[in-house]
Amino acid sequence: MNVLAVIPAYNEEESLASTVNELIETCPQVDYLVIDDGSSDKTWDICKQQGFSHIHMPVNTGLSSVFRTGMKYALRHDYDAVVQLDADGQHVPEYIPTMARAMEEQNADIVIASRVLNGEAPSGLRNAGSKLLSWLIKRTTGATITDPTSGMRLYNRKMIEMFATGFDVHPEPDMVALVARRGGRIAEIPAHVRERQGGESYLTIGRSVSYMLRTSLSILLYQWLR
Amino acid sequence: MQLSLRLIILAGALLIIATVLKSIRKKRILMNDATGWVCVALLLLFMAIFPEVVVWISGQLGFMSPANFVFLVATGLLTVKAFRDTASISLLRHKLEELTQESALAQADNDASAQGEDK
Repeated sequence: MNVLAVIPAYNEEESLASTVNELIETCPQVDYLVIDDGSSDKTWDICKQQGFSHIHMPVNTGLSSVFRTGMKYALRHDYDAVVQLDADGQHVPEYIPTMARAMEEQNADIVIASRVLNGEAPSGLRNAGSKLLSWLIKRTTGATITDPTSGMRLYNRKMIEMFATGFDVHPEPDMVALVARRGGRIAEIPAHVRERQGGESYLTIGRSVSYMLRTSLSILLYQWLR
Repeated sequence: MQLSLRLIILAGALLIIATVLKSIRKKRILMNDATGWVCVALLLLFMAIFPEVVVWISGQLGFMSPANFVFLVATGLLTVKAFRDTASISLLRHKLEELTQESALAQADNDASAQGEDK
């Protein structure tokens, strides 16, 4: 299976090089593409100095636009599957071959690296939010997804086409729910996720709450409308 | 709160919800932008269905009539929305300028290297 790792990077100068080097060492058979989302720090310089395969967005456009750029690239270069790998070092690249195997064996459209299946549920409020989304997805689609907010997901060819050409698609839990609702297969494998290796988390408390509200509402609206 | 005002608010809320849902289905709006409007409509719906809450709050704040309070809330929401729209249009304008400049410079680089190859 021809897998491309898409690595969105916005101001990730601290951790980008170690993330990409770890991927190259542990999974030499996996191609990768760093997409610098118009960073204001040295992210782009690092890509050029280290000779990383990369694309530079001239302005900051946000994660979903960056990810879709990666999907368009994958479609044009004929990849079988795309995995999203965070530049902050949280995602362990070792799991990519396991995810690809799960995709083939279970004929899955999306394979999620699940922290919950690995027995490391996030604590407190974040866990409550994640559980709420799992419950909502179960109720609206019947699919069991233990870790809907895990960012490390492997998408198959059909998903690559959907993300590259679709309207209003983004790599978020409500899309996973929409795919499940349309009869797509979602698989999960147990996976360890590290603490972030540098930079700052985007999710503050206010943003987390508004994220939860929007995602829940979106899952419900998709349920009725698409 | 008068029954007529409640009915008008109710009709308005339902109209907003219908418009937003139709736009989502027809792919005329991104889900991210639509959810805010659904929340506004739900707030209006709440005010129409439970007027006693509105009456109580407006009484506590010393309004002459609950209708005045309803109008103030609506104006306040619209002001916030208008500002956020202005801010996002500003950003879009900035990004459009950046993109145009980048694209023009990339085109110039392309032309220069094409000319270099011709010689």
